[in-house]
Amino acid sequence: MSELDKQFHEAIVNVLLCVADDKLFLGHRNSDWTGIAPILEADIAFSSLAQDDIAHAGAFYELINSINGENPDQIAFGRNTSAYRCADIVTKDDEFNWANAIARQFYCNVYEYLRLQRLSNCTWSPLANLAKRIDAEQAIHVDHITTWMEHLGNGTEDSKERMQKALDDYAPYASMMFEAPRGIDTLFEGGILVNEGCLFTAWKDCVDNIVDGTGLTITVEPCTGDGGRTGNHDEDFTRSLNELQEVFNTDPLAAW
Amino acid sequence: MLSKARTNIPEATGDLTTPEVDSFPIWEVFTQKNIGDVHLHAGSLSAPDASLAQHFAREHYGQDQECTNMWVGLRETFIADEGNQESYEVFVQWKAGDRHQHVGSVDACCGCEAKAKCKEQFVGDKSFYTIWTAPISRLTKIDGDKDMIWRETTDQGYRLPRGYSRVVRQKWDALRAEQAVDTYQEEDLKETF
Repeated sequence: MSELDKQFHEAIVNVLLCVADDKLFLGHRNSDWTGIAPILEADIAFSSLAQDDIAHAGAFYELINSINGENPDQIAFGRNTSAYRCADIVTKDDEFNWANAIARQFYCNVYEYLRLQRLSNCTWSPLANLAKRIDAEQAIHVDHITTWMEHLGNGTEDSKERMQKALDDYAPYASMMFEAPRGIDTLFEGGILVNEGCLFTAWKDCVDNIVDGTGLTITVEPCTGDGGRTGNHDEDFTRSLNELQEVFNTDPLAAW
Repeated sequence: MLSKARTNIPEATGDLTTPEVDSFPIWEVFTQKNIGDVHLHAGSLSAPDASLAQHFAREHYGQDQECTNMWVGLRETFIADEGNQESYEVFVQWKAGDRHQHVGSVDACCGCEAKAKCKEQFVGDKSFYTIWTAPISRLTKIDGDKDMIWRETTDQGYRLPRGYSRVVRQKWDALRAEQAVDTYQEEDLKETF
């Protein structure tokens, strides 16, 4: 199906914003490391992956544009705080602590991989095609971050301790990735998306499997309450948004 | 109005690198641009072990120079004379400053013999600058057919100077059309764009 019935527009745009906003802000925050990551090649790699995320976000904003005609730049940069749909883990300040950046990346990358896999089964073909394409690249992100988890978990006592602390500190934020996007049930009922069961359970199995053998443990609980996916953002997010909009706000109508 | 993103970067204390980081070995990376092309030396990088070297190579050399295959090995492996009886990939640098080029493989008992066989089988009377050899068992080969390497899937044009400048040029064309460029033309920016 290449045409999407109008009744599903609002819900699908909301789901797409969850993906695009997660990627835009994660890429934005990760690019803070450009030039200062702990080792040169990690710096290059992390920057490259951050660029990927921003390009992926762009592709999803374009898809939204194909539904509602809104300018992708306006969607990306021109909204109020409560209209963004990312989970606040993506903007959680890493305090320039590499373990924090790796923990955030690990939680988010595996989640994204599984989410895109599910979106690949969407019956609206433009989304299915895009999700399939981007998921192939997301697999590279997961592969990369898996190596980091293995190295830091199996490294020294110091690296293991720091990594575990970061995983624990980010655990409550990781829970909030699983807040269901508004309208997703409409898409399940309408046969647009396929309900493949609990995403949290699938994710937990996957992350546990990756850290198995590293001595690290994942203590993330299922999501409770309202958060970023329904527009309730914390201070770190607002700071990131202000930063991202700094230039855009000087002239919102400028052609970039 | 400048971004405050980095105002909270902790002050560096002590040495900027640790002895461990400084002593990471150097790895050499070879890439094949299209299926059937020879593998050419793409560059080197430093990494603590083979698995991170492979990941770093993929991001560092795989992104800007899209390719179908990538080989990564320790620099010392390529120049070593020692080794065991096995198959070696052999590479010739024809002139100083050229990139090493994969020319084939030989069976040999050590790096020294592999270099001699390479010379005999692939160089002959031609002049060359250096020969590198690497036991196949010590190369990490990333195969684009079955391993995850490249992002051929989304448009990565924005990463390239030409991708970027195309956009910039379009904008300048638009500006010129509006005659808005007059003031710039008085300056040397006309030369630049």
